Amino acid sequence: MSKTDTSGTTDMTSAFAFADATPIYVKLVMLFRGNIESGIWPVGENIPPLQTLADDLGVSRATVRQAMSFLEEEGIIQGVRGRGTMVLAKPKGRLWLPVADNWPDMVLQSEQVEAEWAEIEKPLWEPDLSDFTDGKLVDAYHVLRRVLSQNGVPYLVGTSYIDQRIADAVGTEAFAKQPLFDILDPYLAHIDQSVRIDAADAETAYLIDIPLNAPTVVVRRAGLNAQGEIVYQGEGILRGDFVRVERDLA
Amino acid sequence: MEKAVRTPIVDFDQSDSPIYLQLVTLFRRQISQGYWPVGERLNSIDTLAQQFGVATGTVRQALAFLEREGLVQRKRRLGTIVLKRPDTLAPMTMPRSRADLVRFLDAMKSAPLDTSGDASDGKTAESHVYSRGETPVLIENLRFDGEAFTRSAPPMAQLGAPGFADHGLRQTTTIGTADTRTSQILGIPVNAAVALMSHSLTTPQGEVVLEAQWLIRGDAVNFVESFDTTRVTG
Repeated sequence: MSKTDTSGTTDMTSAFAFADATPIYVKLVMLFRGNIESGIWPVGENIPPLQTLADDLGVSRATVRQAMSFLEEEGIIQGVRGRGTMVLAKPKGRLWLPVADNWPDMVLQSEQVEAEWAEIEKPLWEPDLSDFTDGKLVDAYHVLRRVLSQNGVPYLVGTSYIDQRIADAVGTEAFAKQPLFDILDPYLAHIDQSVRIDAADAETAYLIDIPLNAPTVVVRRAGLNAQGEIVYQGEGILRGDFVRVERDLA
Repeated sequence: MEKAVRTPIVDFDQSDSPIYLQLVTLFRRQISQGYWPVGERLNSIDTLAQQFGVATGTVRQALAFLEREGLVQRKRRLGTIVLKRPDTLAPMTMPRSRADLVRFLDAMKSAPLDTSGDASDGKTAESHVYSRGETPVLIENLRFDGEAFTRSAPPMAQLGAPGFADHGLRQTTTIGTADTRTSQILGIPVNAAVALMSHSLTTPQGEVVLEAQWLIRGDAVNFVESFDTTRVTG
């Protein structure tokens, strides 16, 4: 990358392989977003031509285009044939996708979600949670599925299994009106979760519009009630390129 | 008898990588997840080409690749047989505390990588490869203030020391892909997912005394966490 990289996250480039493991288009998205945020690329003006950026940064045009199309999806820039690419607005939200490790953050994230659930008649598979929770499965689950977006970019396929007794008590139409974890709050005592890395299968790739086999992050959660029953199971498959897990180690 | 393909929606245009390589990964997945069991004969090349919407030559190319990996065997007139499942690694639970972290590294075998040396800013730089059994799983790039650590033990083994109790240790993980050299060292395919975990140990005044960057093969990574659903923080 060039000297114009002001993203501040690629220092330590000298350390072997670490910097190179972050896909170049991800670094470009960070850089370009930073340029727009800080006003180096002002709103309402054109950004430098693709070829100039590619030459300056020492990357291929295709990679620049890949980063551009991400920003276009976010609604930050817009390319017009023959007239270059204009900055429409400053980035509205964060770029990185966090993975919550506490209930308040989980609730907050569920409240910020704007997506429609699709009910699933018959689950495609039952997630195997036995490797990270001691909770006991209940008799029947109501299954919901949805694709979540952030800043207009789809990033997660989520499948939730909710204890049928809860679904019956609140009425299934509640899931369309209220954030999921607000609904579940009174029923839950404890969350066990596992976060793993995988590659996008064909369906995931199609649903969240990423290349087949691109890295994904799989977040599986078991929500236990006070009796140790699993009244909620969740499996979220996130596009991996913008996931960032931050933890303080005591 | 033709077998159903579980994943009919494939858009090969979404990736820059050659279609046969995308097929390789798709087929490898079919085998690793047991949809194509060991010992079973695959559909004919013509049928596979039709099912996945690609040219027969592309399917042939992908199967040749898998044959070199030892996963399938192609026999004239008999078709393609699945020989074995790809090697996958049992996941490792990522450290959740400093004590965890010291134990985590201690349970593996470490060897220095040749890129060690003194950094220009006076800090010490070291690189290691950690293996579980004979399988390399983690590359570590270390940069630390030599005076803050004793020489009798590796710096990472000292993270739990009382002297660092008031230091913050932040772990930040992102996901990337293996470049050629990483893939060679870790023995994983190029472009396979890797976790980039960076740890920084910071004094109460905000001075960084140690940075440890880990590249871990993606299939080894598992964060296991547990918390109560109380809304009261702090």
